[in-house]
Order: sequence, then C-alpha cells, then structure tokens
Amino acid sequence: MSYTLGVDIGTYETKGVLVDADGAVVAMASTTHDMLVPQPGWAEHRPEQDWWGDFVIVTQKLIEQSGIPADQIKAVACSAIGPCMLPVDTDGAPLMNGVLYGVDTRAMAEVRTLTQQIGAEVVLERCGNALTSQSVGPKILWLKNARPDIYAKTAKVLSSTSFLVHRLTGEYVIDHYTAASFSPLYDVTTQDWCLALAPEIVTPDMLPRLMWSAEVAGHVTTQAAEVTGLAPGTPVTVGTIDAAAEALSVGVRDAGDMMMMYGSTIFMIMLTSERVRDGRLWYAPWLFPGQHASMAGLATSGTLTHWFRDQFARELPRDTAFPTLAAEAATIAPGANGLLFLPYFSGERTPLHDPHAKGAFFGLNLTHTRAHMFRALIEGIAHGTAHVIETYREVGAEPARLLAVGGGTNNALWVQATSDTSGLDQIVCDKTVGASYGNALLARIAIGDAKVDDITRWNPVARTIAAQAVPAYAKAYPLFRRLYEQTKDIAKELSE
Amino acid sequence: MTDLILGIDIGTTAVKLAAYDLAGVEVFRRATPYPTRHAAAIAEQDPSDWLSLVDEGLADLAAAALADRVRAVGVTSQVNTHVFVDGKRHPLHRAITWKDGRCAAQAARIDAEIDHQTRLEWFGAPMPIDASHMVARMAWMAETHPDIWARTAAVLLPKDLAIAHLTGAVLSDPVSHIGAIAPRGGFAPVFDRVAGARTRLPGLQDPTSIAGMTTLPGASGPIPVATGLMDAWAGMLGVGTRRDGQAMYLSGTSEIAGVLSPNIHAAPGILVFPPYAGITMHVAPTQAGGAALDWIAGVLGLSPAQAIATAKPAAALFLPHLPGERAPLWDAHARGTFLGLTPDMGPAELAHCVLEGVAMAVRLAFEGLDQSAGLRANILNCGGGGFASDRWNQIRANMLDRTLQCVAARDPGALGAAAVAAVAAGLHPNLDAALSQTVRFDRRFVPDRAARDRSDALFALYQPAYEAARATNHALAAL
Repeated sequence: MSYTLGVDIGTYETKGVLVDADGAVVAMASTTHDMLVPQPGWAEHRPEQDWWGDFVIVTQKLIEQSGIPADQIKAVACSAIGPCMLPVDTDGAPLMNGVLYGVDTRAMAEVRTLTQQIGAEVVLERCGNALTSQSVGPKILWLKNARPDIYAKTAKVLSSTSFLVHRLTGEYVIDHYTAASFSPLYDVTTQDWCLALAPEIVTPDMLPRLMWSAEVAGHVTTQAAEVTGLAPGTPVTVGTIDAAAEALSVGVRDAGDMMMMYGSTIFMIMLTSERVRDGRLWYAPWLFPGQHASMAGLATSGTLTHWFRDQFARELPRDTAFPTLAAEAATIAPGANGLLFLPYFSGERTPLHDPHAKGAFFGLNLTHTRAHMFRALIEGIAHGTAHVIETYREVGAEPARLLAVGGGTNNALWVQATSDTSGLDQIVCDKTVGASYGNALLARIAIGDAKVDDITRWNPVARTIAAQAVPAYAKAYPLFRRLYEQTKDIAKELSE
Repeated sequence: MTDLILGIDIGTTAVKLAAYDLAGVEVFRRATPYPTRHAAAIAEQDPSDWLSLVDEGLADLAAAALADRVRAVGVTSQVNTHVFVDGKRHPLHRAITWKDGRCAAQAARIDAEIDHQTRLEWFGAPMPIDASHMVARMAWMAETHPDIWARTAAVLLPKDLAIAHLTGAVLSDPVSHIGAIAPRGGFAPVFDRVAGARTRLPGLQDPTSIAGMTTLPGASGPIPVATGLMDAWAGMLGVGTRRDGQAMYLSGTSEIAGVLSPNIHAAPGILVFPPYAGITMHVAPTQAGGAALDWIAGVLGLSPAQAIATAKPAAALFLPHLPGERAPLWDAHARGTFLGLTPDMGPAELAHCVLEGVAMAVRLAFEGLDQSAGLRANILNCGGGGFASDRWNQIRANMLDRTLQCVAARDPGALGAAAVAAVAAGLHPNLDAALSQTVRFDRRFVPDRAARDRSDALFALYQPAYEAARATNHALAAL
C-alpha cells in the first residue's frame, strides 16, 4: 500500500493525517500550541516549537499509531496559518518568533507609508489587494525599521509553510497563493516577485523560490528523516496556506466553486477562470497554474455566537449552550419579529472594509426575548454573508457550487439562513477533517498518483442544504444594507 | 387618632389606593395590577376590574381599621380612556383606552371637517382630533354599535366612573378633558358634530369641588369625595410642583416630564395643558421608562435590581423606544435600538445603555420643555416607582445635568388626588397649603460634574441615531 501524509498547523492546533490511495483516512493525530500576544496588536508563534516541533510530534504519532512503514509514505505536504513573516539566517534558523497573519497589526504605520508612497491604485492593480495587516511586505519593512539588528542577519524571509518545507528538504520555496500576500513584493499579473514598487524592503535573494503548490519542492533530508521518522528522500510538496488546503479538501476544484468556511470568522475562497479585479475582494493565483482565486471574509461570525453564549447564556451548561440557544431561536419565525442585527462588532472586512463599523440591534420591542436576539444575530451574520455573495454577483462571479466547511456547519439554523439569504444551495462533504486532508491529496497529486478531480471520490457529498425563498429575509435584507449606511457615522463617533 | 385622606389612582396598568395623614405620611397602600386586552389597533380594559379593585382596596382599609379615620376621598385616573354607561351607571362596553386606535377613521373625518379658524374658536388652540378624542369615540360607538349608543346615558373617564360608583354622582372635571374644552369653559362645539353626543356629556365641576358623599365600608358616616383631576395633574401636585418655574419628573412604566410656566413658546412635540387655577403645565410624556428596564432584565435573566447593580458604562447607545415614543418625538413606529456594540460588551454594558438611554429620552423631553416654557428648571421634583434605585437616579441626574429630588410618597398620583380631596373637604384652605404640608422630599441627586463630558458626547448622538434608524425601524415595525 501507499500513503500520503498531510499536516496542517492552525492558530492553536496542529493536525495530521495519513491517507491511503483511495482517500481513506488511516490515521489521525493532533497536538496543540498557544498564540503568543507579547503586546496588544502583536501575535506570534515560536517556529521551532510550534511549527516544526508540532510537525515532528504529529508525524511521529501517525507513524507509531498506524504501524505503517515509513517507506510506504510516498509523499508529504503541509499547510499552516498564514501569511506569516519569519526572518531566518543563512542556516535557515529563525531569528525571532514568527509574526502571524492579519491578527498582527504591528506594521500599520508601514502599511500607510507604503500605500502613500506607491499609490493605492497601483498597489491594487499590480498586487491584486490593498495593503493591510495581512500583507507581509510592510511587516518586513517593520523589521527593517524596528529591528535593524535582526534585519541585518536576515538571509531569507519565510512564511510558516515555507519554513516547514525548508526544515524537511533544505529548499526555500513558496507557493504563488501565499506569495500573493507578500504585497507589495509580488506582481499578480506577471506572477513573479517584483521589487520595483518598494525596492527598500528586501533584496531579491531574501525571497524564497516561487512554485506551484502541488509541485515537489524537494525530498526529506537525512537529518529531517532522523528527527521525524519519515524515510529519507520522500518527496515534499510546496504546500500552501491552511484555508486553501481546506478548500481543496472539500472539493473546490473548478471555476465557480466556492468554499464557505464557518469558523471564528466566515472566510470564502472562490475559483475563477480569470482574475477578478475588485477592491472589495482579495485576489491570489490559485494552487495550480491557470486558475485564480477570489477571496472574502467577514470580521466576525463564530466569534459572535460565542460572544452571545458567554454573555447572555451564562446559566446554560457550556456543552449544551449552543444547542439550547439554537432550539430557542428555532421557535422564532424568520425575521425575529422585526428585529435586525448588524454583526460588525469588530468592524467589517468584505465588502465594507470599515474598521469603525460596530454591532447593533434595531427594531427592538417589549416582546423581544433572548431567543429573538439570538435568532437576529444568526440572521444578521447570514445577511452579512449574502452581502458578500451579492458583491461576487456584481463583479460577474456568481458562485456555481457552495461547499460549506467548519464548526459552524453543525448549527443548522445558521447554515440554512445563509442559504436562504444568499439564494444558494450548500454542499456539506462527508469528511470534515480539514486542511490536513487537502494536503494529503496535494501530496498524492505531486507524485502523479492523483488528479484534483479525485477529491469528489475521496470526499463525497454528504448532504445538501437547499436554499428556500423566505419572504421575511427578502424584506429584511435591504433594511440591513441601509442601516449600515445610515448609522456608520454614529458608529465611528462612538469609537472616538 | 389622626385624620386621614385617601387617594385612589386608576392607572393604565394598576389601581392604587393610599391613605395619608394630613402631614403626608403614608399609613396604608394597596397597588394591584390588572390587564389590558390588546389586539391590532385595540387596547381595551374591563371597567369592572377598576371598580372591584377599588372595592377590594376599601375592604382592606376597613380590615386595617383605618376606614373610620378617612375624612376625604380623591380619585384620579388615566384619561382619554372612555367608558359608555347606561342610566344606572352600568358600563355597556369595555373601556376604550388612550392607547386604542380603532376610532382613527371617525377622528380623521371629523378632523377634516374643521378648518383652522374654527379650531381656534372652539378650543383656543389648533387642537387635532385623534383616535383617542372623546368625540371620535362617540362617533365610533354611534356608527358601529347603535344599540349601545342608544342605551348610553353618559361617557365617562375611569375616575368619573369610580366617583359615580362611590357617590352616585355622574360628573367630570374640565382639567381631565384636554382638547375637548372650549376657551370659556364647557365642552367645545365639536360635540355637536355627532348626533346625541351633547346630551351624553357629563356635567363639569371644579376639581376641588365635592362630587358627592360616600360611606366607606367599616366607617360610621359619609365623607366627601372630590371631583378630582387627571393623573398627570395629580402626579404633578403629588411631587409638590405648583408654582411657575418648578418642574416635575414622574417615572413608572414610562417617564413624564413637565414644567410650569405662564409663557408659551411653541416647541415641537411638547404639550401645553390649558391653565387651571393659574397653573400652566408644559408636559412631555415619554414612552420609555421602567418597562425598558424590566425588558432588558428579562432578556438578561436578571431582576431589574440586579440589572441596575451590574450596569457598567460603555461607548454604546440605546434608543429606548421599545413601544414607540411619545413626547417629544411622537413616533409610534420608533423601536428600541442598540448601537455601537463591540465584543468586549456584555450584560453589564447593555444594562447601563438602557438606564442611560431612558435618561436620554427624558433629557430630550426637558430640552423641549426648556424651550416651550422659556425657562430651565434645574431642580426636578421626582416621584413614582421608577425612582426606587438610587444608582439609576444618579445616572439620570448626570445625563440630565439637573438635580433630582425625590418625594417620600411612593404614589404621587394618589397623594395628589388625596391633597385635592383635602382641599375639597376643607381640611386645608387651598392647594398650596395642602401640598406644602403633605409633600416631603427624602432623597436628592446632584449631577456629577465629572460625568458631564460623557453625557454630552453620548447625548449628541441620541437624535442623530434616532433619525438614522427611523426609516428602518418604521419598516421593521411594519414587517
């Protein structure tokens, strides 16, 4: 038999799977780590311990549990939270903790400086996205400005996945999907590094080599083999960021396919045949040449259901609180008896991109209860999601297939409301393993044993949520849209 | 044994009886809630609820061996609530309350028939005829229930029905019939627009006159019952507001703000009652109040007292228009709104928003009153169940930037009615004397200067927030 290994490093958890040639999961293992917040606005991982250390632990566990000989593991792929910014020295040793993705806002001054210097229009056209806290370029500039001592020793700047691949193979590579977040250092039209927009950030030799995710980056070195238990010479794929691997794991493969991830935030990846040019949506080349990805994300989602549970359902036992709240809300008719909720508790990302937006309840009357408020909260998130779908429609990129993933898919009310407000059916697949499973497929593709389309066989459709026409949602949606516009100035003033 | 005066208040949600000695010390109290039946535009009450609660209260008074000490009875009530009675004073139909909108068509028709000049001649002011006007109620009954109309001998207010029940006298007072009285007294000519209306109007007497005599259960002889006046006036008197420049702030399920001034400057949404006994009341009844606190406490699974105790300030805003808003916005379709929520907020912050939101509604009302009265009252005479919490009172004082002084009596309406009765019975020579002896303040809340910036900054957003949410809240109310 032959197996492939997929490992994914999340914000708090690392998960790995061994998958056979038919897509069956033969072993699964996980371990946890912390996110460090050394000061407000900073978020870090320790690369040696949290990334490489976790990879080793999970891999060893999988080999031990499964009893599969290492030489039957034919290929390895990993993904990780990202994009991250990690400077390494000439030996590939980390010079500091890894600076995490958009949750780390330390480089906002550099974001503003670079945007002003290059011009917002130029950044958008050449890099596909505006510069934000998600962008790696400004974080490297921060390093140069704030820690010149470290910058002086920096031989390469890596993302989390690149670091793992280097540990396994000695190669410095990065996939195009992740590289698109290295703005303003990556040109999406030429699909190549571009230092012309901001020459002061790095020299060309500091960036890893660009490759596609399912290409073989290199092979497991003797040294890495000793530590992990993998066979020396095992092919290692270039890999990608966790969300992309997750999309792959549930069958996102053709233009028009969209992953809808119900996590702490809602995150969407849609494949397109052409690059979608719109400042409200994020862009990256997809994992394979010739395909493009258009991304969107809400600022809050699952975090709001947790907020509501923690603040307003303290008397409920924690393990049954969500089912109880959902059951309460299910007794309320759609529309929550004229109650409307704006979910912008942490501002909003797609499509408003307004950091000052705030949460709100409108239409409250004396008959409204906690059940109405929870229902309105779920419906508000669903309206926020419908707003994103509407944005895709406006740019001519109507999703053809919606694939739902994440913990929130267990909340039937939420998933149904999302279909009903956006007018799209949703598919939930059989396996909910996540990104590590997508990596196992990537590894299999890299060695020529599978094609992307095999995912439909590996992970078949388990159920479909059919969109229903709900008049109450149709009436509420324009009000939802109008309310933000009418109250955004007040929300901004409240933050001052 | 000292003499007592008894006040009866037939409010919108409860019937209260309270007996006081002549110094205003409460010696007996009974407050019992009763239901309102709501359906679409309908909001009606069973008049027999009022009378049986009055009778039960009097029985309790007798059981406490206090009835024989009562020297006078005063009655006040909600107004624009009408009950149709036959010649034996028996109600023929459920009472149509001030909140009931079923007579809107009749009101609109009559209103359309009256031009501006006629209106001024009839009422002395451009008074609108709305669905709560007595003439609209009469027209509705005549059209839709001609059999009941034919048997109707009089149309009475709750207080008038109670007085009739106690004394047999069918009468009313001019103060309680806002918008129906001619400038020179008596019911306005508008009642001639409905055939048979004029003959079904009660006779009018001065509030401090004696309506009739009654013998309370457990008492040895008859005592006088005063003609009395409506609840807003009784409440105003009950918090000791009787001179120009003085202000009142009543709080129960809703908050009512008022100030006395002979000067009248038009101010949007502020009502000015026709003068009585040299008193001109500018009044702004809001819809927000204790009901909003009870609501948020229910949502949070807390008691109202717990909700107040946990409250913590936050940079968020609450519009307390859960059942719509009355003065000064007069918007039945306004709705409650939380704005500015962030993940660090929870029950404590939401509760504080509600307490502060109610105070903002009252601040808006007082700002309108300042304009209407041409003066700013810096000390507010406060009374009602809504002032039970000192913490909330301080939040109110800070938001209003005015000093609150709270009366010791728990039911200012009943105390005001009792004080009027004391004058009617000759126990006090006049209202001024009656009030100065019976009304006492026992708590005072001075605005905290340090809170002023926050109050001003939040309040600056209150009306913009209302304006911004108005169209959507209207649409939501219609869903």
